[in-house]
Amino acid sequence: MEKRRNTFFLTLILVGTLITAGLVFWSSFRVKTSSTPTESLAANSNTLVVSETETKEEVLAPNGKMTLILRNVKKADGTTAQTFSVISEDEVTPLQIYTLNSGTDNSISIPFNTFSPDNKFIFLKKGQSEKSEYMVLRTDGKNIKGEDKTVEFTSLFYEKYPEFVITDVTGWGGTGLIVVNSNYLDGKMGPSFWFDLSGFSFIRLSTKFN
Amino acid sequence: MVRKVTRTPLFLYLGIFIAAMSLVFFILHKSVKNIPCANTLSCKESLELSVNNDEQAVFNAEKIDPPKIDLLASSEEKKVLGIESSTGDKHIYVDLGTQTLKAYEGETLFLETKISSGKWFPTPTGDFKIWRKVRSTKMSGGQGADYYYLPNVPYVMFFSNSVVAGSRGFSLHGTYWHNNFGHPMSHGCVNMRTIDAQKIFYWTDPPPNEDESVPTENTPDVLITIYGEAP
Repeated sequence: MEKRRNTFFLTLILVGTLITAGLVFWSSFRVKTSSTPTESLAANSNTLVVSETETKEEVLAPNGKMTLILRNVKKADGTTAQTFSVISEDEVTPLQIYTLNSGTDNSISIPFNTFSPDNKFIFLKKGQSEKSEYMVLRTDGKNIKGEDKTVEFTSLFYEKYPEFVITDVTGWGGTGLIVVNSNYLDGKMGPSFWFDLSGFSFIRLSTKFN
Repeated sequence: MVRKVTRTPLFLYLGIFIAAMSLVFFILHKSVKNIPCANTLSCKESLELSVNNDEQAVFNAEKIDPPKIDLLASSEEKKVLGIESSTGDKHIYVDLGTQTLKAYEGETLFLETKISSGKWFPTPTGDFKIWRKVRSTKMSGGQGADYYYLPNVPYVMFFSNSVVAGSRGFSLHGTYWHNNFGHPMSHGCVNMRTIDAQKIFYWTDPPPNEDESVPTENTPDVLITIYGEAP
């Protein structure tokens, strides 16, 4: 009689343990399932903060008297905040001259020959593809033309010379003359031009600047 | 019957031959003597130290204010940049094809940068040595739209060899009138950014104890090798 009672209690404890374990397992599984999106969002949120990176690039003018500083802050959404500043050798605080929020395809890069020989202007390249745009701006932070901080001269070129394609903008042929090389639309070598800042116009050259 | 004999005027052919040869020698002699300098209008003048702080420069029909040169400040530069740290032979390579300059001290790369070689007149190729250095000089030449007048050309290092005489005025030097390095832009010289020319000027022998210097027998040679073909 006592032996049967012990067997009953043991079975009861075993069944109770199994039911409890089953409930715990089930509830824990439910908690995991329901909490997954929250954790995922939290994880993404953390990743966003970590992935915002900042890089800095400095380019010295050919005479060593001015430095162009480019600060790139890459954001989680793929865009980049670009800030351009200049500092002269006899100044302490950089002067911010231009800012831009851009996508990955149209971020601005600094060409090797960016500074005009007198350090009054810089030209910049926007985008990396064949259809790059080029712009020029002043290094004193003032507007270069009317209300505009920049003059984007690629579209000006195509308005006037639709028969040519810009192949490269290499540097400065003088204090106010930017060297623009071109090809004909069929790929044959085209002429070189000055982009003349005195009138924001193009001068077609008889000499090709390779 | 009298037979008329036509004699070949041998003396006439001989005379024409001598005259033609004389003409050829004359033209050759003139052309060898008149090999253009790198700076056609200031051939001899451009080899001398000169500072012209009050003059305006002209290049590509633009008027430019040249950098003011202070020879007293140059002596401070010498103290900072003219430090001797020789660990090997100094050798400068100028690649006209890529428009780049590399300066080595032994196996160590001292400087690599873009240059502009001759566009209106070719830069000579070969092995050269620096025969004179001047802190500043005046260069002029060209005609019409290509006329240029450039006082205060900074950090000038004239080079020559047995074929290209020093009097022709080819040099490495700083540049303040254009910023198109990596592309031919000069009248035969090797144009450098002023910051690069300054480094090479104080790095090469002879050390610039004065604002102009000429190597002596004891001066270690700095070899300049110019090669390739400009685009």
